[in-house]
Amino acid sequence: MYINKTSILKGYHFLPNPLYRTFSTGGIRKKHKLYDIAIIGGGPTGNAMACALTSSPELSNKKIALIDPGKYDHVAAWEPPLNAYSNRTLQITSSSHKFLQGLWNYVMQERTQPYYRAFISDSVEGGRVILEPNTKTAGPVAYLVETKNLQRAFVRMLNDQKDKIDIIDRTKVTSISTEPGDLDWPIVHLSNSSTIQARLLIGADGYYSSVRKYSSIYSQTYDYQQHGLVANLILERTNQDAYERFLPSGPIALLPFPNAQANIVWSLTRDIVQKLKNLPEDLFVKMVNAAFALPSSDVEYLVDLIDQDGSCIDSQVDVEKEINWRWKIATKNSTLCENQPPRISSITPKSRTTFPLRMLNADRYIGERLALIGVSYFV
Amino acid sequence: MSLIKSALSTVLRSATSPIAIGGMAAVGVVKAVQGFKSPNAKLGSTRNPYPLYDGHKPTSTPQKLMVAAGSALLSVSDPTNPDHIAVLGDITSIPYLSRVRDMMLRDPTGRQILKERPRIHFTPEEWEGLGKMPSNTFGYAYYNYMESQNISWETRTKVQYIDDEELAYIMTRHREIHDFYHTILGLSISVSDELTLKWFEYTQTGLPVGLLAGTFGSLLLQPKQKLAFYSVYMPWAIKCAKNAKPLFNVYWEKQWDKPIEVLRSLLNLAVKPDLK
Repeated sequence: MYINKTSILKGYHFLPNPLYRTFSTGGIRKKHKLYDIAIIGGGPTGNAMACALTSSPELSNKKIALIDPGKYDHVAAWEPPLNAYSNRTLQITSSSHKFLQGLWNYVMQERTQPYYRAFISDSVEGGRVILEPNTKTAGPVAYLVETKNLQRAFVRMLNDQKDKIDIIDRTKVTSISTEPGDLDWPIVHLSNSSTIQARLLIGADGYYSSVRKYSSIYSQTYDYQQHGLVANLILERTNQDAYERFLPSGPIALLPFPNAQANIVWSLTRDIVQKLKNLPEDLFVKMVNAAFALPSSDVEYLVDLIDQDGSCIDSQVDVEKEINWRWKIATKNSTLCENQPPRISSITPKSRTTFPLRMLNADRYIGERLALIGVSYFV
Repeated sequence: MSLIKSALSTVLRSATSPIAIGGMAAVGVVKAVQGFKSPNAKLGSTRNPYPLYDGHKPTSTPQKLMVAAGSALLSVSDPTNPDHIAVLGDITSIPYLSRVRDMMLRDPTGRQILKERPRIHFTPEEWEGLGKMPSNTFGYAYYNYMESQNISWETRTKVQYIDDEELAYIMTRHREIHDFYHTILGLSISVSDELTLKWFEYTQTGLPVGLLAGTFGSLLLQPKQKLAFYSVYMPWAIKCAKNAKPLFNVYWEKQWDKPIEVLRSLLNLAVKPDLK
C-alpha cells in the first residue's frame, strides 16, 4: 500500500495514533489518503517548498504530496523559443539563489542573466543612484530567470525525487474540510473525487488561496488601480545591468537577458496600460525609449496623444515626430536621463501582456495545521 | 632697537593671515575673471566652451555666482539700468526654467511655441498695421499701449548665461511677452503696476526674479501706494495669476485680430481693479 507505516509513525507512537486506529477499525471511518505534508499549488513557491522538503534529511521519512491543476509532464518538457525569451520572469536575489543552489543544475543557465548593478533614476527632479555591491568579489545582486525555465527545473528535480513525494497534477482542490472525530487533520477534496488528509497543509495556491479561505484567516487587500505591462525587447547592444526610472504614472524597469535582450515591467494606470498595449509595436519601442530618457512632462504628453485602441487621438500630431524632436533637443542640451539603458531597437512580437497590481496580506501566516506561503499570504 | 624689532614682528604676525587670505581670494577672482576669455576650454572639458546660441557666454557655476552677486549690487546702485536686473534674472532663473519648460511641454500650444520658437519682431509696416486694426482688437490695444507709454518692442536685453539653448529661448520669450501682459492686464509702467505684474509673473512661472523685484521693489513705493499695493494689487495679482491659463502657453502672435475682451475671457483673466 501507499503508506510506509513505520516511517510515518516514527516519533509519534507516544501520541494517540489516529493512523493506526484507522486501520484497526477498518471500514468504519471513510478512508482518506494520509500525508504528513500536503502542498496545495505548484507555482514557483509551492514547487520550491516541495524541493526543499524532499531534499531535507530531517524530513526524509515524511510522506509529502503536492497538488496542482497544471500538467507537470508538459512543464518538464518545455521547449524554449529560439532567439527569444518568455515574457513572464522572476528575479532571483542572491540569497534566494543560494537557497536554490541544488536546483540550479536543472535550470537552463544559458537562458538566465546574473546582474551586478541597478541604475535608478527619477524623471521629475533628476535624482539618480547606482546600486552595486561594495566589494568587487561579491557575486551578482540577482538573476533574471524565465518563470517557465525555473518551473521546468523544479519539476525535473522533483521527478528525480519521485520516491519522496506524490505529485498529484491535473487536479484541482474542490474544498477543504475537517471531520468531527479524533483526527483533526484537514481533509482536502480533489477534483478527481479522491480525498487526502494531511498533518500539515501548506497553502501555496496564490491570490485566491483555498487554504486561506478554509483557515478563515482574515486578509487585507488593496487594489493599487495600477497594472504592470510586461514586454520583451531587443537592445542595440549587450547589457548586464538593471534599470529603473520613476515616472509620475509609475516606475518602468528593465531587466537584462543574455544576447542583448531584456524584459521590461512598466507600472501604469488602467487606462494608460491599454493604450500602450494596443500601440503599434514599432511605436511602442520608441515610447519605451522615451520613457527611459525624456523628461516626464514629455512622456505624459506623448501618452496623452494615444487613444485606447492604440491609434493617435489627433491626426495632426505625429507621435513619432514628437519623440524625435524632443530627443534632438534633449541630446543637444544634454538633458537626456544619464542613467538610461542601451537604446531599444525592437520588440519580441506579441510579447506584451498585463497584470493587475494588488496587495494582499493575511493577518497570520500560520493556522491550525496549516501554513500560508508565497502569494497566498502576501503580494 | 629691540622695540622696533618687536613692533615689526607683531605687525607681521597679525598681518600675515589676512594678507594670505586676501591674496588667495584675489588670485581666485583674477582666475575667475580670466576664465571669461576661455571658460573651461581645456581639452576634455565636459562643458561645451563654445556658445550654444547667439550671445551665449559659457560660464562655470562660480563665475555665474560672481556675476549674479555683482549684478545684484549694480541693480541696487543703478536701478534704472535694466541690463543688471536682466543678468540677475538670467542666473537666478536657471534652476527654475526647466519647470517652465515642463509646463509648456504639457500643453499643445506650449509645444508648438517651443518647436517654432517665434520671436517678437515687427517691420515698420507691420507695426503701423497694428495701429490700423479695429480699436477693440488685441493688436490695436498692444500698439496703443506701447505708443502711449512711449516704449519699443526692440529694447530687450539678450540672454547670456543660460547653458541650454531651449531654456535660453524660454527666458527670451519670457522677456518678449512681458508687454503683452501689460496690455492684457491693463497695467501701466508705473512702479506700482510693474511690481503687481512681477507678482503675477512669479505666481505663473515660479521664476525668482519676479519675487526679488516684487519684494525689494516695493521698498520704493510711497507709504500710501504701499498700502494699496499690499492690500489690493498684490493679492489681486496672485489670485488672477492662479485662476488664469498659463500665459506662457499663449501664441500671442496669432491673437492680434481677436477682440481683447474675448481674449481675456478665453484666458480667464480680469483687468486690474480700479480704486477710484
